[in-house]
Amino acid sequence: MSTQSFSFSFDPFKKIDEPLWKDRVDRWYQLDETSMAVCSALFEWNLQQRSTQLFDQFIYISDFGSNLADAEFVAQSPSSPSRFVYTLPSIAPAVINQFLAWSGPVYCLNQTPVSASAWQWAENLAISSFNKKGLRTFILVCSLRLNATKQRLIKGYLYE
Amino acid sequence: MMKISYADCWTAAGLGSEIFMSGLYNGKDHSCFVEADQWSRLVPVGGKICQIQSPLSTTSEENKTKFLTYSEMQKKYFQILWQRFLHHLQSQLTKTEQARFTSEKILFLLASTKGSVEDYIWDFQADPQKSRQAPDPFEGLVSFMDEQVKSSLAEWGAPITVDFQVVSQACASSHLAIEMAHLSLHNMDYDHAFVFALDSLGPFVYQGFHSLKVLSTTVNRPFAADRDGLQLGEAYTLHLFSKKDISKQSNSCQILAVASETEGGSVTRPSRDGGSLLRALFKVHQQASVKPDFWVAHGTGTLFNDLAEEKAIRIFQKELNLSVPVTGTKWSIGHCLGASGALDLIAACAVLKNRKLFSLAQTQKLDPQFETKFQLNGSVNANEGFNLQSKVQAAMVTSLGFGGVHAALLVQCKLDRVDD
Repeated sequence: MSTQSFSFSFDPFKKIDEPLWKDRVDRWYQLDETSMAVCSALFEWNLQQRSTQLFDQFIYISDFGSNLADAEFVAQSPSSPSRFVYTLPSIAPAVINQFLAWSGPVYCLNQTPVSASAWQWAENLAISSFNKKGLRTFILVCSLRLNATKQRLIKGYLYE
Repeated sequence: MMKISYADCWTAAGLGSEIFMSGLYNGKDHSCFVEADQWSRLVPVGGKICQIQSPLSTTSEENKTKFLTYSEMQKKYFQILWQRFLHHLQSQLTKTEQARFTSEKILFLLASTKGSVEDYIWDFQADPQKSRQAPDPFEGLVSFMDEQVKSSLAEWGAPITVDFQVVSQACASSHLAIEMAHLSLHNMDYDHAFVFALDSLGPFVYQGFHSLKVLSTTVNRPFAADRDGLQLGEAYTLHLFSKKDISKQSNSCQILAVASETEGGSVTRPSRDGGSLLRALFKVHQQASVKPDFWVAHGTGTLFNDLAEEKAIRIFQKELNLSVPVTGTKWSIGHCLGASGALDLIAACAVLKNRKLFSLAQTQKLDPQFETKFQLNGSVNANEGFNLQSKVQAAMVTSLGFGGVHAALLVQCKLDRVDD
């Protein structure tokens, strides 16, 4: 088994122009910040150019739920259904499915100080699934928190 | 395969599985009109919800001194279910067995869509960007659970290893947590996995579903020709899954197979052909070729969900040459979001043990497009799908979630004896 790792950081306050990948996702202009960022990350990593079934299972680890999308939803009056659909941590992975034209099992974990072992659980599953069944796993770790340079960070790990 | 060593729930019907099942068998709809004055944010009144009848449920500013916040309320409900579990296990296990249980490796999965987001999210209406510093919606509860579980089990006299994970996967959260429990028991070195599933109702959730225009303005009628939407519910469930059954109870149930699939279509609507649910069903069949004797469907009562789910069920049953009755729980207890799959599992196990199926009591006339055999009102005791002489029977339980996450599980119960 080999592991490839990817990293993508972005300034969430910078206005995003029409992305080059816009044709891969329906109504890309309605995406929330996180969904937009994960698509940009996958595009930068050039994963869309590889096989559509690049991996067999996908684990998405995030922190702080969907706080930003939740807050954007309550700030709008009248309430917008197009905002409400992003108020779940599991929606960004659904957008990734569209982006990569991929389908398969997705496991969404939320990392808190107590459940900090989300990464460990994901890696254990990736290794045991490969060893027992030859399954390839993609793990995406996405944080809402900004780092010292006011950037958000997305990391990807492909076990194949 | 994994054993169901324990199951309990708290729903709008009351505390415990028995009262939940009693409502299903008696055709009782537990919904009531939204009491908007209990919520600090005025919501568009008009729909019904199935809310746990408790003075705890509010975040209203003026009542904060009298009532608990969502986070406090969820901790309280967890504490009650956890104490009931400890009491049950203490009555079942000897001291030696208790020590053995706590020396084994335990996973604890919290399954929820929104956690306690209602407590703080309305504070960011003026500036959503400030929500970057907001607390994690699950952190308070999972910290509390960690402390409660470890301290109470430590009293049983052995070192314990309990790992906590939070699964937030829309309305399929329960099924995904059960699948992750299954993977953890089989692929990793865990011996037991708890799944605590919950979702609480508040103005955020209500307003969201209201904006999607999917709330029923009358009563919830899954799979009916005149269905007009879902009704929201809230529930808390606690399950213990084990490699080996530790419950010592008769008529034990076990999960034979569980699988999930996704589809990259619309974020809110499943594909019209129910494609990913069908793939999940065939994966379940690959894991365990046992045919179900009946079916507990997700059955939200919305136009598109029911359409996709019925199609997947129909194709799967046809492929396996099956025609088993399909029922559901949401007409009685509401759509309990992240907890709905765990509740449906409790209902399926109760039917397997009682050999009595509940109906879709409020569905009078089926959608003429549907060909599947649904268990409708007035046919509660018909149970055409049941062979009452068979000691072993199985049920399929399906779940659909936003973002195209669809899942299915197959549960089997072996009766010690058959009375009839």
